[in-house]
Amino acid sequence: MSHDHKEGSVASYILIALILGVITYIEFAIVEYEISWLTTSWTFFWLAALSVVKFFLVIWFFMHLKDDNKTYTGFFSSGMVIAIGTFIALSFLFTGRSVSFARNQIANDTHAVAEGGHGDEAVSFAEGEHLFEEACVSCHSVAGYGIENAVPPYAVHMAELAQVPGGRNYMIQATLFGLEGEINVLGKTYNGVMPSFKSHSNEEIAAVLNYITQAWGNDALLPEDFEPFSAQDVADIRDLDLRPNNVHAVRSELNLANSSSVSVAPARTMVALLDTPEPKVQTSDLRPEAMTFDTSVSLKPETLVFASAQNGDALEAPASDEAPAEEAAPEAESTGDDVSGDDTQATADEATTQTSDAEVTADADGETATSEATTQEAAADESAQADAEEASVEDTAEADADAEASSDSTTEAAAADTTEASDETADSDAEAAETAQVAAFDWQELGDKTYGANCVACHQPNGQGVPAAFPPLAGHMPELYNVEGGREYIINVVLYGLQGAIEIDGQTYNSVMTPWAQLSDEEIAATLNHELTSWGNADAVDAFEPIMPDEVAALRGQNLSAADVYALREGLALE
Amino acid sequence: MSQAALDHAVEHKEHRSTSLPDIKLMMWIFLASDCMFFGSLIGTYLVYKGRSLVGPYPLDILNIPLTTVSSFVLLMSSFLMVLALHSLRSNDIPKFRLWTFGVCFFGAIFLGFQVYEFSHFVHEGLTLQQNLFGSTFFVLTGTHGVHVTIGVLWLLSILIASYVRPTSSKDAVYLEVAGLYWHFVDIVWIVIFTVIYLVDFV
Repeated sequence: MSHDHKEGSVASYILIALILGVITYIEFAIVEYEISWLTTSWTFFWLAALSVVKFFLVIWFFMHLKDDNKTYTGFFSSGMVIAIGTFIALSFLFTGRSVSFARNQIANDTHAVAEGGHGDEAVSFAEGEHLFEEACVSCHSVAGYGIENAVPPYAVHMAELAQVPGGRNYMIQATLFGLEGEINVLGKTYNGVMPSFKSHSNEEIAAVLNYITQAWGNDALLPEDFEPFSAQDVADIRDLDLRPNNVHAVRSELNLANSSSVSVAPARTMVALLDTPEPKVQTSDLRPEAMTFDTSVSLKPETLVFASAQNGDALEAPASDEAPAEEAAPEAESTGDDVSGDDTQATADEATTQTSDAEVTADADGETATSEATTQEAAADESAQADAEEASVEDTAEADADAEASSDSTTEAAAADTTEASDETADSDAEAAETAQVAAFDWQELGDKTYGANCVACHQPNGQGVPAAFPPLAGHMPELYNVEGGREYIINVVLYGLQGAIEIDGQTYNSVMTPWAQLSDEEIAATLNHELTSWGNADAVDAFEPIMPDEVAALRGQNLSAADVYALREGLALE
Repeated sequence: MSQAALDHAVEHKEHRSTSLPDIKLMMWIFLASDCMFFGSLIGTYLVYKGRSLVGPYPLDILNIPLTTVSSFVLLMSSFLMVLALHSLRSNDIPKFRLWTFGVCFFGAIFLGFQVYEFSHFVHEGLTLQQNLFGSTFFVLTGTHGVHVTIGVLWLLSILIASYVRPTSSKDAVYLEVAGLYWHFVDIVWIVIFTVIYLVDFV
């Protein structure tokens, strides 16, 4: 009964098999090797098209639908149609609004999502997505997953935040001013650092917030009358000018279902954090290098008082809270001079969260007293940093000298100063202090600041990175710097990003470093110098010469892709 | 048997031979329903995509080069399948046996890759219970793996049967039906390979 089949020849089967093999390889190549001229949308298009071609080649030739009775084609097609229908129904059922958003986005990128109230300040979902991919994705991942222990996920959580009283304002604050401190999201703790995105416009921040509250199925969790963020909402909050730890205090006031901080006074939350016997993540570690970032953010007494007052407005706290905040400030100043860094941190937190509860203050002091012994080195380092910070307002050179004088174990600060000061590695402190005054490029403060604003979220305050996600800079930067071509390579990484699996100390990292070409030459050079001389790196670098802004300028304009930089890395003689 | 009954039987048989073999029609209807089955599983995977709150996430764990190789192996098994059917129709029994064995062998290699992949994932902490990715991924690819296993066993039974009793081109329809099933398993994998594996790495 099969003889009446009109069937293909063996040659035609071989041809089809070859085509199938080649298509599979092309699909693999598109994904595996970054093809610069192929945009993301076109990549999706080609992958889909190639799969459809494969699909039809198999059913048409291998399954003989081409020559066989059309009844078979009819049955199979109806099954396919129902399957595709089921698939579309599923998508609508669970992510109805996402689908309609996606449509709008395709139809018209400028389509406004805002449904009223802020007519002309309407911001588009597509713009928010674009900004998210530009600024947030390196930490929060393409689908808003976040990173275990470090960066919380956006899926579900943003919808949750948008609905609690005060949550909207908090979301704006966290984006504008950053966030620092341990938080609890959907039953898990995270302790990373969210940098400030103040440099973005009100419209951009509103757009990205609208995106993250509605993407990844969050939209299904929002109430029907959810009102999108407007640029005016952001503008109102921007004037507050908070600090990341203030934002943390605001967060602890939110009535989040999964958070343990419900109805706990902010100050108490802080004490509870200090009480945590074993900090889970390196950020809250007591190692000296871990403290430097905290210092730069929160140790200036005068700003502390200012920030506290501002925070008072934000929290609508009783007016009497102003007084303890001011009391706490001088204390912060004195501890900054001579006591442990941990203590300083505790007092600073207290000041900002404005407690009038004396018992709480006592608790905090008691706690730090016990940890003082273990953090003596931290204290020494910290005090030097604090001194330098204060004095730098008036005279940087004097501050450097001060820093060295006030501590005998400030190897890090001293190393940074001396190496910067002279072209050769200076051994003499006196020489260093002298030449610091004439240094053409004063990168220390700028580097610390730029690192804190842009790099710290992934690479962490102690330069240790996040295991399996973001590579450490501590220990690794000198390795790169010391090999031939490494100096140019690290500049290229910052300018053009890096993508591909790399191995450091036996640990593989396969994440994405975003390009930072939007930073100035000075900022990039300063940040790299900061990284090369911090966290003990200064001792491991051979013959450190500070990277100068014109070196960065010289490497701009190469138009490299992150994959090209990866290829450069392969060319380095790393062990 | 009366002459009338014989006539009827002959007529019936002739009627059948000019129309569609039941077994083949049945297979196509089954494949249509299997389309809906896999359509729902793939849809479920996509609906829950990106909603896992803990790792491991697809980007951490999926291995594109390895999966490309196993996809290629499965495609080539489809190729051997048409060769086997072609040989059987031409009454070339030794080649039919060779190619059918080849299909089973390639299918087994594919399953080997999948067993390796699953055990590696479990070792990395991705289990059915770990997160939404784990649940939807294992259910979808596991169901496909079960289909492949059934296909291998079916073709092996046809291969063994060819030694037990005389086999000729008259039996081609049985191999053809098994082949349809096998090709279907292949096209489902074409979709899975793109939707689950490739697009995440774009």
